[in-house]
Amino acid sequence: MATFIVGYALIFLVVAFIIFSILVKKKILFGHTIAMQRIFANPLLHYSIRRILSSLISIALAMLVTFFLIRIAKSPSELCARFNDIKKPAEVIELQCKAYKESMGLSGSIFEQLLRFFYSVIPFPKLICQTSFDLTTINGAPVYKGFISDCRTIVFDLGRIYDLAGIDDGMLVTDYMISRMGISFKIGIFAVILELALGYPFGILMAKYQNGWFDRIGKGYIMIIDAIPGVAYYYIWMALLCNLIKLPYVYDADNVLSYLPAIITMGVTGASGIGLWVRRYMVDEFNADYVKFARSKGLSENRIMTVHILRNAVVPLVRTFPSAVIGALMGSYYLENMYGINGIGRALIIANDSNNVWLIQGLILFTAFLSVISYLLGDIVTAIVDPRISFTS
Amino acid sequence: MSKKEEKILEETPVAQEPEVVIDVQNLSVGFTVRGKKINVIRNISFKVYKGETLAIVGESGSGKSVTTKTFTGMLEKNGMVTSGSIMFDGMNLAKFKTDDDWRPIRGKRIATIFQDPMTSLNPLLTIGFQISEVLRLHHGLSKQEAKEEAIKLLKKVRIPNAEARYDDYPFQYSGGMRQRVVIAIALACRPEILICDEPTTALDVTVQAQIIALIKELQEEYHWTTIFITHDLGVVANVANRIAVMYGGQIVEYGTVEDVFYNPAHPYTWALLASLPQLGSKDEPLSYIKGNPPSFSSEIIGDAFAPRNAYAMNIDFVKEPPMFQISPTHCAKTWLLDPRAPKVEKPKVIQELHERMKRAAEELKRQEGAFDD
Amino acid sequence: MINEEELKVEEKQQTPVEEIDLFEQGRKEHPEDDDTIVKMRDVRIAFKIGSIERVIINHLNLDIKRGEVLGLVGESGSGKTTIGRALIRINKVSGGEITFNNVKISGKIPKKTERLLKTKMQMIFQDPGDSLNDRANIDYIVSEGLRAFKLYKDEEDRLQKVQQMMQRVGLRPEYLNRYPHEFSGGQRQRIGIARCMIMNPEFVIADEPISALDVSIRAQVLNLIREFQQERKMTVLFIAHDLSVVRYISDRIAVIYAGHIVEIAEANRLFEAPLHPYTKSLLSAVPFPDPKVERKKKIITYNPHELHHYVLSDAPKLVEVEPGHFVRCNTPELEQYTKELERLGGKK
Repeated sequence: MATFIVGYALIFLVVAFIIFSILVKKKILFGHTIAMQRIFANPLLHYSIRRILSSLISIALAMLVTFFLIRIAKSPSELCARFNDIKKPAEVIELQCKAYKESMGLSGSIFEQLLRFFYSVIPFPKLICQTSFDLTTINGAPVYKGFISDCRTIVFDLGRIYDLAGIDDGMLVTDYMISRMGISFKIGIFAVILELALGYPFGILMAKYQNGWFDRIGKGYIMIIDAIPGVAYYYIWMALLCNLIKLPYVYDADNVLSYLPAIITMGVTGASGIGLWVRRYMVDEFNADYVKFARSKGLSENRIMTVHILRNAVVPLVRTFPSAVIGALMGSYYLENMYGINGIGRALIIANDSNNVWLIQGLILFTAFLSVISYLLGDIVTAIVDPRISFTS
Repeated sequence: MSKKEEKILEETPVAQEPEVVIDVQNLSVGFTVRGKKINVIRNISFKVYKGETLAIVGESGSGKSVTTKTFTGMLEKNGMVTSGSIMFDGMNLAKFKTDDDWRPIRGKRIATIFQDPMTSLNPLLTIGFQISEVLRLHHGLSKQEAKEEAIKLLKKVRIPNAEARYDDYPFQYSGGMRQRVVIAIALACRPEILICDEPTTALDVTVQAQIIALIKELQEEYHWTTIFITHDLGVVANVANRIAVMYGGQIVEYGTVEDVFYNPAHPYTWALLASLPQLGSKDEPLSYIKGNPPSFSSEIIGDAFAPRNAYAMNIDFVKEPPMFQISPTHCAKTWLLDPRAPKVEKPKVIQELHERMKRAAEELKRQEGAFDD
Repeated sequence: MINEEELKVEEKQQTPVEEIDLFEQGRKEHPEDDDTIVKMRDVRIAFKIGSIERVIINHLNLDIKRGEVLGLVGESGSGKTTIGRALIRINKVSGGEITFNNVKISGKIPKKTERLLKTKMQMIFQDPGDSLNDRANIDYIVSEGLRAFKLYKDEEDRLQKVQQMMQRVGLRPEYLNRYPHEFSGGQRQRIGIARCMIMNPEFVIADEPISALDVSIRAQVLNLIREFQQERKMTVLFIAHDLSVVRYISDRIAVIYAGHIVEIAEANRLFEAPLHPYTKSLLSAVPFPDPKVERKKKIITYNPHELHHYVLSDAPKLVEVEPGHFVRCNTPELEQYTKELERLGGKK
């Protein structure tokens, strides 16, 4: 009940806020109150609203397309294989199968399924229950009777998982993703921090001593990373970290040391890319006229470097911050496989192998949503640091 | 010399030699381009006098910008002073190497304004920050003091509503306004010498006129020395005290503004003046300089201008002319001044320059307020 | 049989220009208007950025006479380039009408007319570096128009035409195989002129062709344009921000400020008797290459908000104050300008 109220209240608040700020912007409400205008008619806010609304449409389209594509590629025909048993009569198997499909949301025509899918994804609170079936006989005929259990109110429902070797069977896709995302993020976020902490000084030093020895070594390193396939490179780091330094080979949630190999591998790889771009943007700025003018003003090289060049070089890179952080939520397939991390990076492959239609859909939807958000955040952050960008057309 | 010209010279008495601030002797600058050494400035000597404006005039590639870059150590990485000296306040700037050597000079004592105001300012920092940065660094002002001073300077360069515009960004300004801000920054340095490197080339004529007037006015107030670089002889008549005409990495004529405009001696100066559209009349085509400026890739033999010079003599293609002194203030580097050279008539336009301009001025004079008298 | 037919079709496609020249027809149909080549009537040009419309030009009326050089002078942002680009259909006209030889060339026009127009109207651009395709050699650049409209008999004829044009603009025919970046600014502008003149246009728009050049090279380019104009009796719209340049080359000068033409007169007359304060400020800004004169000169700044007090009931119009001399003014200003004309004396 509480979830219902909170959920609806939140939805109401969001919708009311959007309508209110549009009214303020159109000067229908508070047309002359400067403070209200400043807050609710903020071009950045309206730009974001516009962007979010338009991306909702594109997400819906993406959902539609993926739904049908997945139906074409993956039919859940093997679903009932588990009920095959020579001892059972055929009609029982059929009944069991039908009941199971129903409980997984895979019964009915494809359009019914689509409608159900949209219904469950549209964010408003709904009661989701686990239905289990039991074989009983009514008047001598075998009948499956459903037992409703484990009822919860959730806002997003992405369906249930089935056929995952039984372990997570029947689990809500949302729960499954959240738990795995947590694991991936725990490692990913530290990797991003490491990536930035290494990448920036790396790029700055390369740019500062352009064509010097450090720059040459750095460029060589970047080239090597580019040239070697990712997996091979990951194994080199595995050998280094686990054989030489003796860090644990296998991920263990309780042992922080076991996080390190994945974090370091991911961070160091990402740092090379960041370093490359930092160097590029900085070298561009070095030759800018305003740098010449700053020098002729008598500013010291260090000041020109920090106040003028670095600042300006970072502005185009700021756009990538949100996507880097959000990207940490998506995990890495190879690394999670290598170190046995139960992260979300492996989930899509697992889902695909086990024909888990709902999980595939959920993951794609989730990825689409994250990239829309990270683009939007990237634009907003850029607008905040770059005064030349304004959203008043 | 015609009677009129004599009269002009009389009217402008030559003052006793003022104090020299920069003394350039036998300066040569070389660049390494694709492993090849080229000489871009070839053995030039000249003086810059205190409180005056020296205009360095020449086509692109004549070496005018490179010359002044050596005064602040702003040569491109592949360029270096190969010989000669630049004496400034007892120091030989030609010997300066590191940024630490230059720091007390750059900005503080010799400031520069560049050609393109659209790119001279950091696009991501406010106008106010870029001015007060200089004030805080060079004069040790506090943040608040620097802001007050910066607003004063913005008012000095006639930026309307300066207080409100302190927090503006460069992209909110037009080209002319940005050049004003650039000038305000140069003012903030309180330099002894201000190098203006084609400060108006990228601007409209009306804005150009305002900027030049502003530079001149501020110079009178702050008593700095200006070095004004331009390709347009037309614009310097008002600002310059002395003019150095450069061609092919050398100074070919040097004199007071009257010397150069009313009694030019080098055929290149003649050609530059004669090509000004202000002097053209509808009935005759404008005269122009044929050919292209010399490229430095091969060695220049004789007079660099000879191939384009309608008055070239045989010797011009063989031997470099020396600098001939015409008067105490005026000298030119052409064999035409050698006593053995045949007498040549200057182009008609040059002889009539003052008359033609006076006639043009008559038109303007009839407008109210266009002239002082 | 089939082959013959195919050949015929090909021949048809190769016919350079349609047999009926619309513009020639337009001239014949209105002999009374024949001395005016371009007419702009109530022209409005606006750019749309998102949902906001920026009006650059509004209610513009301008006639360009056949065979004249009309100088169009104004500062950056005044709309002078916009007008030039609207004539050659780069910028869209959102109101009013432009005619060329009494044929409408603004807004939606038939493909045929547009194609024909391209052979009659050419443009010389400001930046000789930007306007030339750096990947194409000079031969290709100069003969691009010829190829597009098949204005030559055979390859030999084309090459001859190009070589003649190269010589005409003072470039060696050997340069044909070189690329634009191998040339200096002045040479590139001459290539731009060659590309334009080889089409033998009736009307040329020169959009600040010399602003990006060194002064010493400007004269050369100016002379070249003038020679072509006199030789071929072309009509030229010469756009510039500097009055001194325009006086030398133009027959008439139109001064434009903030999208409005504020004064038009014969070139010399504009210098003798400038009436509009903006024209005066432009004149005073031209530097005199004469220290004595220049030092005495005062720069007049133009401040429209202080000078004009226009009200809706008496909106400023372009009024003919003396034959061929138009000034934008309202009634009190007209009185003032007429008085000033009397003081300055009539036309010589």
